[in-house]
Amino acid sequence: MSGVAHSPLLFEVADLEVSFPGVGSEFGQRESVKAVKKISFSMSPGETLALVGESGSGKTVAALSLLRLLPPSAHLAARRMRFLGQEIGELSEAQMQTIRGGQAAMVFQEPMTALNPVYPIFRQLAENFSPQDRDEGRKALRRRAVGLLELTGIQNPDQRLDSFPHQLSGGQRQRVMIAMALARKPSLLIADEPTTALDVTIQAQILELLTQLQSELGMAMLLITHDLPMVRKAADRVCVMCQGEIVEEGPVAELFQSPQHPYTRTLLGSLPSSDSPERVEGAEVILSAENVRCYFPIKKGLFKRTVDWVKAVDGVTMTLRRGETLGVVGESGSGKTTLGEVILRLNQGEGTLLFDGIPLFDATREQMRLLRRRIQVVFQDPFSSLSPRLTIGQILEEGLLIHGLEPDRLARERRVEEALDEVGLPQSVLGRYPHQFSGGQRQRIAIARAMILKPDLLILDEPTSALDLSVQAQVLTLLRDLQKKYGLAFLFISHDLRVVRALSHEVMVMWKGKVVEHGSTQSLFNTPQHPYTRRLLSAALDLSSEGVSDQG
Amino acid sequence: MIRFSPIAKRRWRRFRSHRRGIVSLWIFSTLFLFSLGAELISNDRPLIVSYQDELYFPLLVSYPETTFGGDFETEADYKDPFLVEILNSNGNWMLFPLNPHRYDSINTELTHPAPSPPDGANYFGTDDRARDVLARLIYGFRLSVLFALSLTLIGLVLGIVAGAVQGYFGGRTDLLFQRFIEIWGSMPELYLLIIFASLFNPSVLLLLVLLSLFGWMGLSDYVRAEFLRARTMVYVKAARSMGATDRSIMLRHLLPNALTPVITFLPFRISGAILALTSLDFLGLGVPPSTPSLGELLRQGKANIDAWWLSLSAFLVLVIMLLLLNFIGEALRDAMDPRKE
Repeated sequence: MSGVAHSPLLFEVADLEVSFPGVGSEFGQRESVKAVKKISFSMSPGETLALVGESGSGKTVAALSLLRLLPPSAHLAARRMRFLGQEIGELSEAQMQTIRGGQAAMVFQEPMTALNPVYPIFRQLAENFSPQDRDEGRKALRRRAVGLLELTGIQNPDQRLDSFPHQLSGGQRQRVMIAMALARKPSLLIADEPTTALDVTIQAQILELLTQLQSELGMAMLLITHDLPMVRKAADRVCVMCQGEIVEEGPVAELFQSPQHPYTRTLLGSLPSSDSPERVEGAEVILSAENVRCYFPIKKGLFKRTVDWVKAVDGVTMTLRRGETLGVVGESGSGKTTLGEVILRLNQGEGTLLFDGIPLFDATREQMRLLRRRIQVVFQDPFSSLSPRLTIGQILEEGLLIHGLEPDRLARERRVEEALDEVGLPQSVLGRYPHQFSGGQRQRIAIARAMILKPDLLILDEPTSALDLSVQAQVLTLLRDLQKKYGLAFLFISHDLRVVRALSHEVMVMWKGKVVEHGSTQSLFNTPQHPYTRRLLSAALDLSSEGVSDQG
Repeated sequence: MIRFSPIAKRRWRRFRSHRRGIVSLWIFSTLFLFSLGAELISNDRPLIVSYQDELYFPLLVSYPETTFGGDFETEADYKDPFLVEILNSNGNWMLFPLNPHRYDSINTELTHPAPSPPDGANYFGTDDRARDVLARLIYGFRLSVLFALSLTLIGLVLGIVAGAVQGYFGGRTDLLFQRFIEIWGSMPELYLLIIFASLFNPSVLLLLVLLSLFGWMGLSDYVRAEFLRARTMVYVKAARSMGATDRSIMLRHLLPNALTPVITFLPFRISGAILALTSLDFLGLGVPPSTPSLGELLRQGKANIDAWWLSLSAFLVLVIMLLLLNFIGEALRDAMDPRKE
């Protein structure tokens, strides 16, 4: 191994192949699934390499096999897999442990679950120091921990060390995770979707922190992500993965300028366009809200007295016309989802809310039942919004049954088939169950379930944020077509400004339950007035530089 | 036609691959089916009587003794030597079941004082009232299983309804119901049984009602937990925003998901119910004296310790029955294990 030790590469992987034993299929046979097929890639010290791909492309598996972190059932084979001159396959488990956390550290996607909820931050951070460091005594350790937290830009690091994970926000937790990864000054940081679970403004901050730390400490960073704008901003080189293979590799600028492989081109073309749709002239108002509020009481004490209110929605005024889309933008906790639920009357609101001239808050049970047909909803997570024990046919016909439409069975079946047709799914799916479909297909089913009732208003609660980029583009096109065809009004709730811009005629920015800015999409994106809107826009659109979206 | 979901099919496949479970299920079902026809297997009345070239079916119709040339207007006793003599001569014949005793027929022609050991007339001997042990075992098995099945079924319905209501509505309803269950659950069941046994005539129905009143609580906890978890799922929200009623959400969307723990516990609940009946009978708080009961047989075994055929046979029947149920339950539990899906 002597000759290899002087290799200028940080790591080198040649012909890596990873397969998992297949789960018994319908007919009981077992096939092994190849998650990664003969890929080769390498990194030099200090460089940032992005592994880009959609879910299931094998990018995370490829990175995990570097640290030998795959489950024992995985079968791993490689012609060469060297890290700092050592062949990873030949190392003992003990040697591997010094590499993990020592020379290579990892930051995971979910800061909510990656920290142990029962220990304070300090204890979890201290575990990451090397054994020699741990002998220094508690005081010295604490000083180092404070230093690390400071490095990641957490305020009051000394106090924060005694906090428990649930007392920190998502962004703070991700900073703690980064601090833990940096504890032993690794030469390689593997960041697996480090910002996906965070709000836009936080995403920008974390990404900035990562790139800044990288140049300060001279680490290499392996960035695993599906977020192309982020890659463009942070990475030096890109490997595009598709179905377990690296289909294209190259420097960032080159790859974004002239993508060679067709898959890369579709990926780049899938970024939502920056043109917002044309306004509909003289359309009638379908939904209007005046000073709509939804407060949740905070109860305390023995007698559950209401001591305060959480103002989830606080005085929202808006109008929505037939055939138009109102985008509702805000970060998590801004009350945008609650607003949707108030309109659906899943949460009780106050104020005036008129749907086609009918006051929704005063509607009786029976009136509401009739109105529910006309107001439909598509939820964010297509994995939990379909009943797991019902077939697609049963799911689709439920609405018709509830509202007593099409009492004739044949007519009902025909309407279910029409609805499937509308969202571009074959009729063969009717007898199958939700778990047999991909995220994009499930979201189409959810849209079909809403469309089958021929509603006037469709509330879209982050319908694309759980989907891959190319699927997201397809769903957006579908929604736009449906809107044109039926003159549907959309209330489009999202934190993704790019998607909102592509679909909305008007945009409303919510912050802590209040509407801070409201206007046509063009004017709001071009000349934002409120400082919060500006912050949001700069965080999101800075990442998605215009050049990228113009490619499509 | 009932269409089974792929999940159910996969579970059935997994259950079938569990050899011990599937064999136990077969044996248990066969035993139970046979015991349902206990009257045809073990009876003191013949299946068919041919008297003066005419066929009689004493199992279905009760004939007075005068039909066969006897003196009394009362029902014929086919063990009476006088009648036996008539019915076995002049071309007349009787066809008895395999075991020519009923659970309550008393063998008056014992060579030993009761309880008499096994011999050619009573294959498993007799109990202390000269009744055939084999007949009592067969009928006792049937009664135990039927009792356990109905007790489980009633408990199932009560438990699911109670758990579903608590879990679905949550909040105050749940709180009140939970407190009620705590109070109800802390009532001394055995004392109540003793009191009721002395107030009313003991009967199987009374036992069923009393045990049902307490038998649903363990189950409702599981159903409640499943409903509590699932009611916050987005698909419930989706159904509600579509205008679905509470009832249809509970039945269509939540119940199928809550059934896993219910089905998993089913065989164990059945064996628990059998054990409950047996122990009450053993204590003398159970079914009335003439009813065939395994617990009562065990008690006789305890009273007549040298009549080994009493305790041994009841013991064997109980052990085999409970063992089979537990094997079935084990296989079912493995089949329903979500970690294996």
